[in-house]
Amino acid sequence: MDSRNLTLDNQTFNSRLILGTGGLPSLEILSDIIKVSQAEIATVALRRINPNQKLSIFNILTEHSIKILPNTAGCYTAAEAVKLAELAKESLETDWIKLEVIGDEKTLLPDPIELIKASEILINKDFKVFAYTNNDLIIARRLVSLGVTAVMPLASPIGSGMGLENLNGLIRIIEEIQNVPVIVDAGIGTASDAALAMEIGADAVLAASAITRAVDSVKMAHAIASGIEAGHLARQAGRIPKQLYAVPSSDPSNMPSLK
Amino acid sequence: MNFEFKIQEIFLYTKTRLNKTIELAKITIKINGIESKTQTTCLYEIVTQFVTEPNPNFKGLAVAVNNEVIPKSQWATFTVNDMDSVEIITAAQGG
Repeated sequence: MDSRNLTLDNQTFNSRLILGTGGLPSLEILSDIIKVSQAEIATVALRRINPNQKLSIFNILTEHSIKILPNTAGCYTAAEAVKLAELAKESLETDWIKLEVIGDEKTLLPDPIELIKASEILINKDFKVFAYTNNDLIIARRLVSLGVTAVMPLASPIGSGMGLENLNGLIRIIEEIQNVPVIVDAGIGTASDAALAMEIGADAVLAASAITRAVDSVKMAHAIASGIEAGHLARQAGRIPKQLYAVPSSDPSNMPSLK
Repeated sequence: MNFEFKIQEIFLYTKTRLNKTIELAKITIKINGIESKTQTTCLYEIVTQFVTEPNPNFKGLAVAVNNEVIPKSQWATFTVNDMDSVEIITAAQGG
């Protein structure tokens, strides 16, 4: 956490923003988002190929030398997620997988039981599992003991833009899990949310909808990347403690008599 | 005369049988959920016919048949059977 670079699976990255590509208004602006945010990792989903599609997200990310983190979005069971992870490995030639096993359509919250099952299977198959999980210390601990590559607790439901709903829960996870990167995922709404996640000690932040569904996606990508950098610097700098009453910043001694 | 007639009959018979065999070779499979008839049973050819955009080495693609991932190296020798389900997938936008 103290180093400037982010290390994931023994690879180092300068940027601590992981770009989620879901919800982009068009593929054309993806290059601008990458350039302005200086992101080096981006997530993709896996779907049936559209045989007539000219522009491919895979090609754009590859041209920009972006490390691709495929996800298992859309899976509701461990069995589905394992199958999709295998397709991801075959198509994108990576053993990285952002493991998402969703519990229900309305909240898109992770199903922790299926997540644990899928993590175990995939780690046994030598996948590097980035586990998208609830804001729950006990599940996070279990994931770490299974050997995940990163723990990705949610800030709030996917796409909700609600920010860090359970700040103390995230702090507990970050404080305890020291030897595996903690990436705050989902629910980031704007730059200050990303900055706060970094200030409490997250190793990285994943932002998708906050950028892709913003009125100006490119500008928001810049703002969130700056927020992440500012938050990371602030964490390293060490903030002053919060106190209920004032502490004068100007020396009260040697005050001239003005009465 | 009779011999010549016999030959012609054998020729016609063989031709009919051959046509029937070709007819049998047409199988019905599902490609990405859509039923389609194909004359080839070779997975490589099926993928090539489906993916019309030029893509050298099929980069970024993966194929599953009946829910089993078939590595690219096996496409050329993999035989698809009638009623098989073929899924051809690639990276898409996703959080």
